[in-house]
Amino acid sequence: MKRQMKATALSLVMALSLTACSGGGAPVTKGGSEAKGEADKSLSGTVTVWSWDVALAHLQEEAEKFNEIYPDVEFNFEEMGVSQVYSKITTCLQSGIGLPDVVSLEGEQMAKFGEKFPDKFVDFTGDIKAEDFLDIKISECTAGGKVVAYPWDAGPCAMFYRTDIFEQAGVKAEDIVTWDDFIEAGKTIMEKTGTAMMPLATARKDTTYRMLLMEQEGFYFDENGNTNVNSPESIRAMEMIHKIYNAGITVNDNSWDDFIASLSGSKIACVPEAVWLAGSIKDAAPDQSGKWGVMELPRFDKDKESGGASNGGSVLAVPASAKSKEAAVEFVKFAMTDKEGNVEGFTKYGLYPSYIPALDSEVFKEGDEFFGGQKIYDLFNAVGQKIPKCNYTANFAEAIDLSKNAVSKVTLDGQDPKTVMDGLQEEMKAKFGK
Amino acid sequence: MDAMKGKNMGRKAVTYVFLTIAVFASLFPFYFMFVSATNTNAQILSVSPKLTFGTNLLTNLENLNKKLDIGRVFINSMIMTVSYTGLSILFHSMAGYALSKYEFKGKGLMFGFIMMTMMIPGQVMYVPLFTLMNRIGWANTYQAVVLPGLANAFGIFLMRQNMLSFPASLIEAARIDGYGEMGIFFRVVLPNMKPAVGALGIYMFMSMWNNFMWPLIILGTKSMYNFPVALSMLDGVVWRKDYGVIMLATSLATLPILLIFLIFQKQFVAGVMGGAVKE
Repeated sequence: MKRQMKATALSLVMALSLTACSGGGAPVTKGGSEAKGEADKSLSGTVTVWSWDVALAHLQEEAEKFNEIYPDVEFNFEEMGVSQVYSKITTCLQSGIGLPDVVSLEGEQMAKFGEKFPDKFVDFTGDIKAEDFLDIKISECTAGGKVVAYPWDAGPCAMFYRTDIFEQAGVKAEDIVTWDDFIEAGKTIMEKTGTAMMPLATARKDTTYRMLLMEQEGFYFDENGNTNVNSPESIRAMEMIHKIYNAGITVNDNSWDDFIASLSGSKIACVPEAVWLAGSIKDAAPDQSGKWGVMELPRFDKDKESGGASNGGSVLAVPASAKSKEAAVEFVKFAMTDKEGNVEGFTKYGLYPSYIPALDSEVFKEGDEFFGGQKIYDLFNAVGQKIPKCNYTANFAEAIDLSKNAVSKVTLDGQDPKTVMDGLQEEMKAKFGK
Repeated sequence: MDAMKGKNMGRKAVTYVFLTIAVFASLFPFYFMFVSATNTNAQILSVSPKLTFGTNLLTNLENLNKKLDIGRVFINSMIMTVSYTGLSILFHSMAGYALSKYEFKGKGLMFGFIMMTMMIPGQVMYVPLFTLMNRIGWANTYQAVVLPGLANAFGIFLMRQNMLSFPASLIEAARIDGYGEMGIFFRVVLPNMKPAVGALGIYMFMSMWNNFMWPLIILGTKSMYNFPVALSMLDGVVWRKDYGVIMLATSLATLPILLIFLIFQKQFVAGVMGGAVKE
């Protein structure tokens, strides 16, 4: 017994002392192109990057290119999930230690970090050529009047639709101009093919409402950050949700998996979503190739062109206390304004650029076989340019949560949209204090 | 007589039907996880997902290996979990023993304080603990994950309650026979506490194997990640998840636990039941 105990204790001690050999991560890339002769030795140090998935993969490639110019900069990439980045960065910002040199964040969340931790991110205001990026992305990167991140990929929205189902029901996409047309077409399709017109979440999501709102150049907040959800635009958007839902032409998609299931099972004829959905459809339903098309989101008024809507996309920020700040700042600028790199990020990883010079590339003018040869990116380009500026503020994430409840009240409980939005206005005001 | 038999049979049938459903409900998720590990993303996400083993296992494994070194993750998880379980059993039972069997000034107060720490949510401690660990240079080490939670109120309480019923006369007898205090604890008390130690051990093992938030914050590099943190890394962006790879990784994280349980099943059950009756 005694001997056994000793052995256990000993192995525990040994296990613990193994920790010593755990130290810092190995630098992933190192410049190997001194031969080029144009090496710039002015920058050095190790740049630690936190990012996720394809974004990280793309940055790794950019780092290799960067090293051709600045061979003395080393990179250390840490891959993690999206919400993990937030948990970690919050702790690090609060304690002021352990911060990376470069971090990717979802654009819509950037304002929260920028406002809650003022001066903790490098200020790019004077540096950045704002006119080179889509307006909406610059507003995502702006917090407290300063541009605290570089815009990366964008998410202009349009209506994806099934050309085969439309044809089967005798509905023409070009006849759908307004949302009312859309609902009528939806009823026809429902009647003739039994397929729902679009997915609409009754809880846990408010994406469609937000698109309808942005289309009318409205948002949760006004330019001063004050709650603005009972504006005429907002009420109109919610009334439209009410109308679409009551027309009985939707299927529920409370989760992404629900949505993918109804998409690959051909249970929906249309999806209003951002440009990145193109890649998801191709992944989830390869057998539907050639059966898809894209049109602009329907409008509210026949004669009035609408603004664009946006959903998703990320930005790249540099914490002010980064150890290799200079190199990090230079790298972020390099990667985000690399025209060719932005195009590659799109073709390889589906990261649709917000850098306007990159959008001029031929790649975005080609037809896509999956979409029956339609030049879909022309359309997204046009939408991207007209997305209104939005003030995301620190409260965006919480506002979404409250607004989701409003959607449930209007759809599931059938409450009056105006009353619900007035109530939401009061609720948000009480919560955010403005 | 026959009627009775029939009634009994009927009742039995109901029981078995119910049990079968329960077994199916609890085992099916595991089955689906293992099956999905061998299928492609499209097969898993299709309207009627594939429910039989497929041929995509090696591709999934290859893709998983591109993302992380799963062997290393396993070793990390093992080191943290085994050392945590061993040490925490030692400390908890020592503290529980002292608080139940020794008389000293301020004992009640001390126990009260320990219990009060249960009211502090763990999340509140992250920032100060993170700062502390960084100051002493322990960021990104095993001990930063293992040590902070080593003695916690729940474990101490559990052991104290169990030790309260330990007969004082046995301790007296050992003392008269000439054992030192350490000897009494290790040779007389602890061996009789197997059921409690077993229960605590399982609990601590699971809690560390599944520990996510704190390791995520304090571990900085991929080579240090444990299973939960590594799995979260695969979770990536919502519209680009590869469920085949995720299910393979979760299977690999579940397998060791499953195996350990199957192998030691008898001991577990015996351990938990051992203290149930006194004969």
